[in-house]
Amino acid sequence: MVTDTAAAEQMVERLLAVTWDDDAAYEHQRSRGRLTREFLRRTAQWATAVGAEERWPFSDLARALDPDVDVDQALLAKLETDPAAAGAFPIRPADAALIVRWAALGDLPRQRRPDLQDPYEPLLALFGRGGAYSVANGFIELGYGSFPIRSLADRASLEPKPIDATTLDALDQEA
Amino acid sequence: MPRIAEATGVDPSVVEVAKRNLFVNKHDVAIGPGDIRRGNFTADEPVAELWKAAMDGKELTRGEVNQLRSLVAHEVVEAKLLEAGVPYNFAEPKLWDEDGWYGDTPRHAGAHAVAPRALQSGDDVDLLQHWRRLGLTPPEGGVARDLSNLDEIVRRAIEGMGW
Repeated sequence: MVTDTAAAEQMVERLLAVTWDDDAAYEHQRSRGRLTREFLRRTAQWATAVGAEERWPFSDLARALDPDVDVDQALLAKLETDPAAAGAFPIRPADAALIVRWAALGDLPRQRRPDLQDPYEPLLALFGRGGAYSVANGFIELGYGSFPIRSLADRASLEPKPIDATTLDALDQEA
Repeated sequence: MPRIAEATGVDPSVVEVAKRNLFVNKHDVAIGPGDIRRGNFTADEPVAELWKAAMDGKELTRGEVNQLRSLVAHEVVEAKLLEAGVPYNFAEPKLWDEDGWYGDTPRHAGAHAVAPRALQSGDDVDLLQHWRRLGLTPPEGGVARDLSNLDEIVRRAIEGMGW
């Protein structure tokens, strides 16, 4: 069993700090699209690799990789903030828990599958460029613009695209 | 629909319009450039669970009631715009980037993008915050809590977008 408690705690704090910024979401709409594409591609590849196709793109990749991964319930409970006090597009608590459990795996994913990239890195970058998302009618809704989820096979077969800050900023400038 | 109406404080006939748009009616939805598919909306699990919980009379949190109310507002405005002939979204290639991201523009916004934001749990979320980007003027106070001004919102959308 691998449980990196410090990494999980840091991730909870990071997620709790995410807020919706309408101006930023508007300015970063193209890069938020790129990050969503990369999130879908990476999670699709991981889901295929660890047999977590059901509920993709929000399947529990961490538990599929290590069924014994354990995160303190009290820590996860911190994510259950009052939804009525939230701003627009709050991070869905169930999605946040997936990300925290993945963080709790520490280096295990890189050790087991060095060929696959961090599935949640794109979402964390997206949260920093305006905030989270909602999901409706087969699309990830980004506040400004949306991204069709399509099938796991379709997304797993995509070629990777860069998501470094310079590339993302250039995409937004282009728009 | 009486239980959802009771939970949200919205007229049952309004909830019925939302239900038909969400679960019964078929829609033409662009899922890529030049790629339009006709069918029911894809049921997202949390949405289906929330709707079912309300239908079953389960006690909802205030955040869940807000989510449900904003969902009904979204679906009703979207349904009425679709009924008026406004497309759900567009398959024009210029609205899709090379990554597959779809973005409406003020000149080219579909019924889905113009409708109030759905599934918002916060008490104070402005469901029409995106309207200023579209050059639309929301009614004073935005979407009424009992959703009694949705027809006015539809009227303003149609006039403002020049549909």
